Amino acid sequence: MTKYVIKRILLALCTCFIVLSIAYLLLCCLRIEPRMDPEPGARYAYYMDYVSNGFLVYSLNEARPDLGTPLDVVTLTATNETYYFYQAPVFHRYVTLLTGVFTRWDWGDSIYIENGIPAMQVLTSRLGTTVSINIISVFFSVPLGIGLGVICALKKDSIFDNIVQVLIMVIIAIPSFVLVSYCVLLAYNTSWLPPYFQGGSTDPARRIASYLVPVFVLAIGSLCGYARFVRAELCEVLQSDYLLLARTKGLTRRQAIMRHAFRNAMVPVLPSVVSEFIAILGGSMILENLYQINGVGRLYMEAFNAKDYSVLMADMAFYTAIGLLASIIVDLSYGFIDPRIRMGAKK
Amino acid sequence: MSVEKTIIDGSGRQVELHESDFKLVQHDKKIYDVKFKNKPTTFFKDALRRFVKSKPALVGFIVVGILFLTSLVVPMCTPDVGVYNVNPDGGGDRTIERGLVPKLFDAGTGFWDGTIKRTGILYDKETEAPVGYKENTYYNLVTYDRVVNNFSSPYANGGSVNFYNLSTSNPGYFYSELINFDFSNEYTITYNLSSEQYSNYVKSGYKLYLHQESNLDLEHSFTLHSFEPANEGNYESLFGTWTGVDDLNNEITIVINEPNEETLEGSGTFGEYEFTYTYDSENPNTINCAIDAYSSLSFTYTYDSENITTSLSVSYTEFDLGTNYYLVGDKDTYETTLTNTINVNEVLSEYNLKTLEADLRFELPASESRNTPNYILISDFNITSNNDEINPTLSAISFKDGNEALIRTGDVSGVWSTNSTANKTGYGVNATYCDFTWDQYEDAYGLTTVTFGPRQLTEYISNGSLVIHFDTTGTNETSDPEVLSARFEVVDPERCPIISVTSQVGNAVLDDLNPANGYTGYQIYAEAYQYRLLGYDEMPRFIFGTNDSSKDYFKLIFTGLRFSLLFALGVSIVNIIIGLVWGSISGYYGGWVDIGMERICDILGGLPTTVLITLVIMYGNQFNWGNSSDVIALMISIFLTGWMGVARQTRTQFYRFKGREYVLASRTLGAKDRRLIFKHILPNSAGTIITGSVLIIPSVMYTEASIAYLGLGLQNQVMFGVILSEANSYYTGDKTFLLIIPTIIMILLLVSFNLFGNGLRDAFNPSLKGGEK
Repeated sequence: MTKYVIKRILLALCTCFIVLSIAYLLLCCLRIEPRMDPEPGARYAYYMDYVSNGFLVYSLNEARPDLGTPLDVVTLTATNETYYFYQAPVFHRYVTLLTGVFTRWDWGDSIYIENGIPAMQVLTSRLGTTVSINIISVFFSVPLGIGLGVICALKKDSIFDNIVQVLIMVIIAIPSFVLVSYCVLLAYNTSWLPPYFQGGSTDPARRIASYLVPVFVLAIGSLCGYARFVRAELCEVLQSDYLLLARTKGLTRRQAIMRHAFRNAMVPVLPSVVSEFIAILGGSMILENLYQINGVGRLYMEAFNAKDYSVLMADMAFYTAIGLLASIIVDLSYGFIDPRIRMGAKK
Repeated sequence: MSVEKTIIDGSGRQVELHESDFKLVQHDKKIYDVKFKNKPTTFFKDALRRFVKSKPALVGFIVVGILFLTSLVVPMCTPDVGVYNVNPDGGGDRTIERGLVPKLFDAGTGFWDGTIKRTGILYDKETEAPVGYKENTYYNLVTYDRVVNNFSSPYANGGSVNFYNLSTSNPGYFYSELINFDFSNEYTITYNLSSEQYSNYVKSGYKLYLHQESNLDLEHSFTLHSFEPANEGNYESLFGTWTGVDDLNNEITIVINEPNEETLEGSGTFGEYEFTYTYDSENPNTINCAIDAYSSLSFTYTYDSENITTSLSVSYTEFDLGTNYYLVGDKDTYETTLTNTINVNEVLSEYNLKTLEADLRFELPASESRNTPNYILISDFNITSNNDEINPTLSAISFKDGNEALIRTGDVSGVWSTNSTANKTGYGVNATYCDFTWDQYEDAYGLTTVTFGPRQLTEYISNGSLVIHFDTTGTNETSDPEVLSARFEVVDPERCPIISVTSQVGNAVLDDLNPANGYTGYQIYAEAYQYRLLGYDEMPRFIFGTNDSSKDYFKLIFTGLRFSLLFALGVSIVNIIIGLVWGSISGYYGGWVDIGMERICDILGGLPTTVLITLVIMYGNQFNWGNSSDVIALMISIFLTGWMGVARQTRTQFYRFKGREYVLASRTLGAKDRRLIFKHILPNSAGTIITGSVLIIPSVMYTEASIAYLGLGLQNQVMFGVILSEANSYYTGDKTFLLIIPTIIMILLLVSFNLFGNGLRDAFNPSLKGGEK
């Protein structure tokens, strides 16, 4: 098992590297939009931002035919110097990034969102909000979800169970953006919910209140997922022969459930909790945009719209790492559920 | 008959058993050759039977089916004109048909009837109608009176003027127009400084005075010649004492002291005032001074050394704030007096004024903070005189209540104004409000007055639906209904929308030069139904309302849904085929094949969907794939990763089944890989795979909506997700239905798809059902 886990992790690292390389090379190939400003100074400043970021290179006073056709030629009237701006050679740019990342953990600098600040720093400054919302929501969804699942499994086919099952099915089907929209609708039409995120507010009541909507939206989905999963697992265990044996041995129903059924049912649930946590960390992009939360997801959209490629790249790296981590955990959890299944084994 | 055996039964009776009582049933039959009487069933038939039995799944399937069929039918039901043109550049009349609420039943039904509840609308008691609403568009009217603050309106009355000063540094003024006082008459001012219903609060320190405007910047200049230099005999510079007469013929003495040698700052006196200056050695003969009393003061020195004459040109600007004649004492004198009566002549007697052109002015001192400004409440302000001739002008300035004073505008005499730092609103104003149900369709499409010129009327004249009798009833302009109804005769109301003509403006003249034009030079005002003018045969009703670009929301949603569903269906089929083949190969062979294929999956799937779509859309914009570039980009990015779900599921199923005994048995019997994959393993895992595939369709729609929601692209496409995302700004007001309707359809669709998918899973794999039971 250990060997298998190590192999999976190494493979995931390789995948991560290749995925990010492809994403970065694709980003580098994109043409930087030339700026249509009659003022040479403004154009110069605009291109120099990209130069400092490595996406453009320039040559002073003479054209460099080896770099292709220039993106733009700017003549500064003050110094009477002509700058020829070229798209940076893609692989040269790639090597620069790799050296930067592997030696200094340098992902380039932001040029719009926070001018001149390293992209990773921009990302980590936004990470706090996203992670805090997710942790709070996990804090609610895991115990409530497991609890609900256990109750439903124990009271299987009762009215309560049926109602909860229908609710769970409906809630799981509702897309998160609809849920956010309804929450915002509610917030606008009542006064006790803030209609957008005010996590930086000085008023502590307002700050807590603005966590309600995002935590609710994130928690309710995974809560229902856990409840459904736990119910299914526990029901299966309750039907199993070894539980019957435990009862025949003389254990009370409570003892049998607590000592045998519950523990066994939890085995596959726990890895899924971890992977779910990681998954919602990546899935809150729409929530952050709709509820105006200044987190990683919103940063992604800002970077996309502002064409701030370094920040976009750092953010992509974050989401890719999250996605791969979640998939590893899901795959490994199969092994926990049923040791006979080993993903990737030979036929 | 021989008795074989005699037995005693349970009740003690004796029963005789004979051999002939018994018969061998299948004694001579070949039972192993008999065919089953029931028909053999296939895997899919069996699944279908189970699926139909599961009610939730069936309901889900039916709902999905209905939505799908509706989306196919609805876009084709109406022609693409006006409101029914839901293309990005389409839409009806942008002002009239915009944002109509859903209407299914007749107005007045109370539910889904195209009406909006309106509350707190100002009510006009004279016309007995809510202010700003057309006649016949409202019903269930309930009126109620309210006393409101910070309000003034032509439809309200009473109250007092709440005059408050927002400035924390300057006084604020509330002043009337200029009044020409002739003090041969007696003037009396009365006013009330609180409101009857409200507090008896009067702010201390307010002032009331007559303010005489004066020329604000008075320029003065004069020249002095008499000079005593400060240093005996030094006439080279201007320092010393100057005496003479100024421009107002007053004696004046100016002393200019020499400046400090280091700082070059000097001082002096100008008459009774002191000034300071900074000496400019490059320009020694001119001095600009700073002086409190005037806004500027400067000296220019000229010295004629031949004639030994000196002169000093002096110029200064006097800033005159105007002259104030106080009517009430400024300090605490009047603070408790609510009702004031002032005899103006008496108060001003000390000034010996004959005439005065001045405005009446209330002044409030600077407030302590902007949140609690100083204020006074003024009402019943009256200025009268004993001369009846000037009384009308005075009564124009007077006001009985606050509302009346506040609604006066620039073109009415007697306007009261405030300076920029102060403000005035109504306090305790009585207004009537009403609640009612507003019929939005009647408002948009109901009777309205329209102007027709001769050219617009030609259409109706030429098709014979309107006949104009200028020859018999005259051509002159009129608003006599009898004449008009005789003159403009609507023959065919089916084709001519005019109900009645209310007036004709301008005399109709026969065009002599071009008789074919007929009569010209007139206009008629006519009543007509708006819906007729917009080309409808009857009052339209939009069951989902119309959106902000005046498009029928019902048609828009279902046109979008049609595109999205077909798009999702097409994309899903391709994805499922790729996924099945990929997953089967990968799962069946395992080992290095699997690892290799899985890495490709990991790499493509490792890019989060959003990232991938972002990249593809960025390239789409760059290569300029045209109007639908975003749709193509979306399609490509879904093709790149969408099949992975199915592939992964198929692969898992293959891992599950490929080690089973029946596969081994088949292999021992010599089955080839292809047969094992498609005949043995794939059908067994069909349940899970099909369930997964059904859910691809909503997931494609979800992706599409996410892209639109995130603003990555797809704007202006008629796609369901885009409609959803465009609706997400209608959180308040009447148009929340624009948000609620598509989200409900989305939920309905997704829930149904889930039910349908779960039903399919159970149907294909009954053993999985046992996992829950």
